[in-house]
Amino acid sequence: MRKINKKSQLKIQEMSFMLLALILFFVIAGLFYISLSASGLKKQASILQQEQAITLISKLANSPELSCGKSLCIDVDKLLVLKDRKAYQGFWDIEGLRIMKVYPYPTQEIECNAGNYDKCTVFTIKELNQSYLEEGTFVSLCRKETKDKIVYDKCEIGKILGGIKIRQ
Amino acid sequence: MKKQKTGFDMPFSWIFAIIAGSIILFLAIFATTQFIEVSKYREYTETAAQIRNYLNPIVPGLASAFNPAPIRFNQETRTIFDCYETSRKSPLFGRQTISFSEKSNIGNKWSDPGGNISIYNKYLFANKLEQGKTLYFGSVPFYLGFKVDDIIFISSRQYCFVTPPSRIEDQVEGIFLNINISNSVQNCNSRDVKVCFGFDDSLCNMTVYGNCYDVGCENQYETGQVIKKLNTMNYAGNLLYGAIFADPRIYECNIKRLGQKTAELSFIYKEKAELVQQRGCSSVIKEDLNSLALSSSTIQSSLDIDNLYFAAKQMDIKNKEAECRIYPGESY
Repeated sequence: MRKINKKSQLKIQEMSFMLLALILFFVIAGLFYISLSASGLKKQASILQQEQAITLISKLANSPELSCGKSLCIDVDKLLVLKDRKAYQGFWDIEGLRIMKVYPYPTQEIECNAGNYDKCTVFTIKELNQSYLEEGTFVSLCRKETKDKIVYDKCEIGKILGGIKIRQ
Repeated sequence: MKKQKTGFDMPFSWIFAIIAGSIILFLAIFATTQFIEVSKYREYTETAAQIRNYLNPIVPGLASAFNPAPIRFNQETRTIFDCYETSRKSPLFGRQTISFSEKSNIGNKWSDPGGNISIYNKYLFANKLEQGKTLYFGSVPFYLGFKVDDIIFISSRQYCFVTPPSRIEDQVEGIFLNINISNSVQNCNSRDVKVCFGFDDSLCNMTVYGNCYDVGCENQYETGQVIKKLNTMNYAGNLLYGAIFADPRIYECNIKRLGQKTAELSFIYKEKAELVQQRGCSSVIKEDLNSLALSSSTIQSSLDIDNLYFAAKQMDIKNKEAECRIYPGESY
């Protein structure tokens, strides 16, 4: 009787260890799968975010806040005002937004304001403060000027650049 | 007799195996169900994000209207829309959300929707729940003197416009795939949403009444009301499409969001006018921009839209006549 008891106790022990090992195996496999799927999820989220930013930037030049009224044309006078308006910080779902004069200006970056708008090179609408990738498109940058009391639009070549957050 | 006393003798190892086996099986089934739920949630959230991304290129930009290809799904889907007048990320302009779910192949049951995807810079006019295999999109610009933004309308249903004015007929016909034109409500497809212009009938799902009889009105339907069930929504200009396609709560929410956008743009144009004045380009609409900003930032409902629209129209006339135009206007 004692012998039988010992034998069954041993069997139960064996089974318990087996079950423990099995559960441990499934837990490890599960954790491995979850980490794999989480990295896939992050990658997919990042792709969708990038896609959203790229499609948005290509259309941003025609938005009422920036457009001068013609296709892919940005109103410089609006930019000077928009720079200081905090309301737009969260409106466009991109990490940063700046507009650069491309030609005929030197490569050095001079931030624009109402005092130096004709000599500066970059308008920062939204500061880029994270690791980002800049996507952009070429645009015309136009502003109102007067000569001999005649109002006309003076246009230059520029580039609109939107920041896209890169998830590590 | 002896047999009866002992009864059925089950070894302890069996009992242990049955209990442990049941627990393992239960855990396995539970884990699988949870896994499927999480996968579905993830898939639906991704679909909602893809719909959001699809909305970026569909704005008409400088065109008068834009109608992209509809999205067709393999099975019945639900796209759920909501609107908030304010939001943490963009307190002034609010936000809209999209979530998505589809009908399960097993048991024809609707799955729980995925996560909400927020949109801050679009104005989506749709019912709270759009159900079907096809999702149609359309976009028209909205002006209050200057362009405020694009109105994007989304629907899973076909619409039948009964006796619309020629301006709307021209804008709609052949452009928006889910809008048909008819000269009588009886000629509409029975499954279509029937939009009756200028008359009411028991077959009409909603009625549009134009009330623009002013000298400056281009046609009677430039401003008016859309009466849907027991709700009355006032509209001006292209907001007509918003009122037709949207749930009244989403419509009113977007009216307030557009009001804030108008106010911000008015401030931008006002400050631009002050800037260009220093360069000899003097504007006559600064005061109009100021009052438009004030009245649009305090808009309470669509009831106030007429006043805003006519004030903007007066300002637009002055801007068009001026040598120094502050904004390009509708005709560009």
